[in-house]
Amino acid sequence: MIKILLVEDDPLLARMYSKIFTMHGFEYVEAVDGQSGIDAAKKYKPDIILLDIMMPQMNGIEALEVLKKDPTFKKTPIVMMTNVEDEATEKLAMELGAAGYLVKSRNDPDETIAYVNKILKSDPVS
Amino acid sequence: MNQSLLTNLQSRWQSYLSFGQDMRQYDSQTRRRIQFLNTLFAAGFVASLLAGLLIFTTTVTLSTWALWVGGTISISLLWLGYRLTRQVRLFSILFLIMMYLINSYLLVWYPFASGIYWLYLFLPVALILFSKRAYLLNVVFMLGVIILLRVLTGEASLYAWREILSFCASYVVVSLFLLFYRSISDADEKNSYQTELELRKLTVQLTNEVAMKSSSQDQLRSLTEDLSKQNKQLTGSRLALVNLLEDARELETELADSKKHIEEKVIQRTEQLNVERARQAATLQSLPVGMILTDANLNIIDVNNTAYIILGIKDFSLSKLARPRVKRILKTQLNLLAALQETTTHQNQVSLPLIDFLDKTLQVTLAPVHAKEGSESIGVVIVLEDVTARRQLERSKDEFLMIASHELRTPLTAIRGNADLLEKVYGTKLKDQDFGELLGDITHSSIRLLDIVNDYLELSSLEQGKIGFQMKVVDLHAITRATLLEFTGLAKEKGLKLSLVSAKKPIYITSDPERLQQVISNLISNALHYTKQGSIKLSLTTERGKAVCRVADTGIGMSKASQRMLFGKFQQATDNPLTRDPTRSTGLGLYITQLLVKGLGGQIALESSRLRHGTVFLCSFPLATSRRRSSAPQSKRKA
Repeated sequence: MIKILLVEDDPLLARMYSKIFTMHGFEYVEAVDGQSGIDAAKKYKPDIILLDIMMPQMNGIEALEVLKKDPTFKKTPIVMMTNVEDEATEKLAMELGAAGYLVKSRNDPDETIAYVNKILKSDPVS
Repeated sequence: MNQSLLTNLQSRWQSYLSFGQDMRQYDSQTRRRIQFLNTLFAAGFVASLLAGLLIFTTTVTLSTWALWVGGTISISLLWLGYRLTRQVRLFSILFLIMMYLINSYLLVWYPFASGIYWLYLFLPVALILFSKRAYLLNVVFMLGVIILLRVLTGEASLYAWREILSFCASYVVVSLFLLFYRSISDADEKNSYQTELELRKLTVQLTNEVAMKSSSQDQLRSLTEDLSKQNKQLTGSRLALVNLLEDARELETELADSKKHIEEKVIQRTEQLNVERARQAATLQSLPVGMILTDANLNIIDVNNTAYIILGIKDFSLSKLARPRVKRILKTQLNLLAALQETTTHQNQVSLPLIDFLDKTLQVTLAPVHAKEGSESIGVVIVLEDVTARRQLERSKDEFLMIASHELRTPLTAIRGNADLLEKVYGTKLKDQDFGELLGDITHSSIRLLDIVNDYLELSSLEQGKIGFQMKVVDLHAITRATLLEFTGLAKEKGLKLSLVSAKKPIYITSDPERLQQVISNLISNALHYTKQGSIKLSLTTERGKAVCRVADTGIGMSKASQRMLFGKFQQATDNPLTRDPTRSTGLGLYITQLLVKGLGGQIALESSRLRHGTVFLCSFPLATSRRRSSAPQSKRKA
């Protein structure tokens, strides 16, 4: 089972995604903000991390930065999962090493799953 | 009384001596002769008188005595008369005539004697009037005659010797007189001759002098002529000079006039220019942007008031340091030297990124300034625009967008996702039709809501130029095909045929693949939306250097009114905004598509549409000049 870590501060969405991913056979782990996300990543070592951007205290970009600085997660695909549909942010995320940029509101559950799978396929899981 | 009579007689005697002659013209000898002659004659006269007396006393014949007296007087008179005027001469002749008459009377008694007297007295006397020589001859003749007669007749009464003596005496007197007279007349003649000579000499002299005079007069005349000629010339020159002077004066006046005229014109023009300049300056000053005119080295030529205000210089009208301050700010705080150089060397406009200055955000633009088209550049004009407010507005907008984007979409995503899940998980488990319907409604509503929000947010982003296009060479054919594939499911659901017609070879255009896909997707989605039955056909062609993509459907079509407002914002499929659009679109789809197409450098248009017969949309993009599929240099283009 592919382990997926979702860092999302909105509980509604978190719950929704947990159901979606569980339904599609992922091992699902979640965190509510940037720092706990990093801790969770270190603890659970997921195969793919989905990072929300708009989060309190440490936002997704910052978390991305920290994670990517850590050699542990060098190979781990990190997908930004956000509603911030901003060019600059997307570019920044990609520059910082994100594997993908998904806009939540534009992708229904099936599309989300498909995207995640696509990322996973292009990035072989260790 | 006696004294004066004596003096009178004396003066008369003196005048008698020189009687009738201007003694001055004679020399002393002649003068003496005249005087002697006159004296002699006077003596003779006296002697004649005495002789007469003698005769009278001795022979008393009145006639004889009368004859003597008469004769003497007439001789005297004649002599006198010869010298005197014609009147006296006439008188003497008359007296002679009288004596003749008397003698003629006496001739009756003494014919012979009277005759003789008449002959020897009157005739010679008369002859004196005519010729002196004739008289002399007559004197000789008479003497001869008398002597002859005496001799012949022997009559002693008449021709007594004393008669003869007295006769002779008078003759002698007369002869002497004549002699002297002649000498005088000779002298006169000599004098007159001399005088004549002298006169002639004088005349010659005079003539000479006259000649000389005339020659000198001629010379004078010629000189005068020359002078007059010169004078004329001079006059002519003077006239010419006067004319020239007059001309010069006229020219001067004209010159002064035209100078005044020109001066007036200059004043007029200067006033006009001043007015224009004032107007220009006022216009410049009233611009809401700051304008600074500098030369190529950032030396300030002109600054308008707004520029000073923007740069925070408040006392610009009073301070002489205002301009140097401006220069300093431009140089050191705004760092415009580099931009200035670029403007001047490349002669093009340079827009700088926004600069924060003091508490403002400035938009700085530099442009070269030319006096005339294509001539030397005067300098550079720097435009300062205070965009603080605008930028803040934009920032607020950005912030709003970001927040709205997040805040709206998060719950919507949750609703939609959960609804989806519900459908998937529980849709099959729950048989309740109502529940299914409820759930379905929730799902569809949430999807619709999310679409609306997404569309609005995308539109805002597009309109604000937040969306960037990553242009590279892409294959339109491939993208179209891929997009089409994504709709196959939906098409099948609706029972519509979906097809692609093309030349089956790549069509390369420079575009952003994601956005391009979005465009095609929108068009196909629209076509599916508005088609109830039939087909949707996509066709790809290349026409006149452009890649053309057509989406043709057999849908409900559009009225002419709808067509006109097709690409407008919030355009619904119905004409009346109050009438609900049965297809329930957001109204932004085509608007967004158009913005995207424009951003990708292409064009979109409605090719044709007829109510109930279908619609054809067309979008075209310029073909890529490079045929290679390798990535062209990425150029970010703001929509």
